[in-house]
Amino acid sequence: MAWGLALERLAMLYTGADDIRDLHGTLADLEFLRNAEVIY
Amino acid sequence: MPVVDIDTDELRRLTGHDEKDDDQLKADLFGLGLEFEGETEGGELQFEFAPDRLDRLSVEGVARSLRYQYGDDTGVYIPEVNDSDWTIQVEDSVPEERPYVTGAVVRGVDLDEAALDSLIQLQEKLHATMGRGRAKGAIGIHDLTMLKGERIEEKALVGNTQDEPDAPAELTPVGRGGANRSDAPGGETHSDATGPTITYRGVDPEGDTFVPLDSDKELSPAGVLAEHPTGEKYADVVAEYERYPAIYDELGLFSFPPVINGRRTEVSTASRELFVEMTGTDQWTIDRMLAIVCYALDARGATIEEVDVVYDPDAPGDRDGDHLVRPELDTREKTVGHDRIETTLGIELGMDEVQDLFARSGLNAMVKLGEETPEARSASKSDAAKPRSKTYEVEIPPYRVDVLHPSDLVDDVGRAYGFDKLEPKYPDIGTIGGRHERSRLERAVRTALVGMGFEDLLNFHLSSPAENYDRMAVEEGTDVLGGEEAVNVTSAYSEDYTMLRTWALPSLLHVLENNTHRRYPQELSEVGFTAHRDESANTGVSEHQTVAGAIARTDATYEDIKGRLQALATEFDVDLETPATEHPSFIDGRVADVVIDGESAGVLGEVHPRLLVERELEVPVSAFEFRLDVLRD
Repeated sequence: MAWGLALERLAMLYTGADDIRDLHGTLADLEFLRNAEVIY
Repeated sequence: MPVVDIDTDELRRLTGHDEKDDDQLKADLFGLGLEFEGETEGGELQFEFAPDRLDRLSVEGVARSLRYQYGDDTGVYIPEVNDSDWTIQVEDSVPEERPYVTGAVVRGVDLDEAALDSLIQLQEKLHATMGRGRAKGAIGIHDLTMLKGERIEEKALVGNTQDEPDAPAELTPVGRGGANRSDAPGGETHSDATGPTITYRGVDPEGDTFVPLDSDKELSPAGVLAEHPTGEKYADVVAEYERYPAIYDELGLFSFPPVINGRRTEVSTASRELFVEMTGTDQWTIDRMLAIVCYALDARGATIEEVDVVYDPDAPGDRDGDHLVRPELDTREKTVGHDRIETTLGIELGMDEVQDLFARSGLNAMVKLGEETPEARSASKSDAAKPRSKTYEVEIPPYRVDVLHPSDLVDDVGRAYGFDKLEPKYPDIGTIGGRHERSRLERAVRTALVGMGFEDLLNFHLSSPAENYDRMAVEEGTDVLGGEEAVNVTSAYSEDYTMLRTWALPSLLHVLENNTHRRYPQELSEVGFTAHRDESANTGVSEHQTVAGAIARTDATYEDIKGRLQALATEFDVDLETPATEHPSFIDGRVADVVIDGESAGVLGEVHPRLLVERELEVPVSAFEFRLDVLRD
């Protein structure tokens, strides 16, 4: 059994990322992180 | 979630409530926590059952709960158990992987089609739950009349001993054990046995043959595993066994637990006397499973009879030499305070009411005397008599394997009262939510690191020995940062994620490795979770938040990373020292201990070129990592 709030999924919706690994984990692309627009 | 099929006609008959229609029964069962799921093709109703209440895996147990709920029965019920006649002798040859056995004789059962289906369902559901797919415990039910456990001369002996006053139970095992020691294996000449005996022993995979259920062929245990559909299904359970578990009577092998029974002792609607045996890897588990089966059969009007389980002095497991009388239907006691019941449920109850609610849960609650707190005693008489200061000693029947904690008793009181009757209300005090001190510290460190030009990362907590150790030139079990012993994942989904990371630097280097085509400088940091094995910890696992940073650029040096670390230490007003050290991931002479306020908390330095070449990084990298908690006030 696994459960969680899955905040990353909400963050995907919020940032428009279409792969969770863009945001989370060692496959993250620095270019994406650098160019993602600041949300405030 | 397991689903139990319930024949509502059976349920009406067993509860004695013919007037309840299916909808009423559904509503009543919902109150007990059994939710209606649907109907089988045969018109039985299916209920999703609460996985804690293993005693409700069959219609008998559900009926029992309803009778308590309706007030038809109250308090603890213990089935009457007649004296022992049969013995299960456990030989020293039993497989050490499955050393335990238990059993009971059941007489006067009236098995119509519905009762037999229910018994089979109970057996299957217990296998699936407590029995862990038969690995931990497996149930065999046999037609007793087909078993031959005694020889003619022993029958005569039985007649004689029955007239004698009962020998003290404690003496029996000594006599039996002693006799067994001197006997040939197989118990051929147990001259002082007082009744029929079956034996639990280990056999070679090809060591004997029998005709299993649903087959006409004589098969060896190995043959069953290879050729019989049930054998193929459960072959994994005994895959590692050198010898296979086997149960014998005078006529020979009749059961191959946990896989299949023999055809000779097959139970049918004609069976009136049953022999129930259970084997497993844990005596407690199989004894509890047996209690649940005995209660179900007792509810059908059967009589339970004891079985002596006699372990050979050289039997494997920790029961060697023991003489157990089974089934074990002893009650347990737990204590719960009146105060706790009221505060958890949010209602006020009289003591009589609480005792009544316990009784309607099938438990007995006695008010414990002499337990008032000193404050209550010194207060006025009327205060001392208030139920708040009282505690209940609650007697718990053996089928209630779910009661582990006083909270479980409060739960029962709440169910008997009716959770649907509880009025929702707002808490007395209101507070505004806020971040935990731990989160505030993490966030402050992240903000500080970002302020220094680091890019904040969020990496996975799962890693692999290759990433966590090998590619960092660190060996597991060594006394350097990252060298702690790994917490491994059982049955890992992917070989890349088999363990919890012991440190975060491997993750940072991995991100650098994946981004060699991106602009430099790359300055990365992470505040994150790590874990390692720790004998001294309660759980055997020690967990930490860690702070890691790495600078990758053409001129990255020790001084650069030290400068960042010093700035961080200054911002958090801690004292930083960096005495020289050695670490296999860093260049000798360019690596230091991170000592904060006198405590060694991590490491910093220039990452060894071997690690960089392996990752095809073409710029030098300097990095630090240390425990977050040293930055705390």
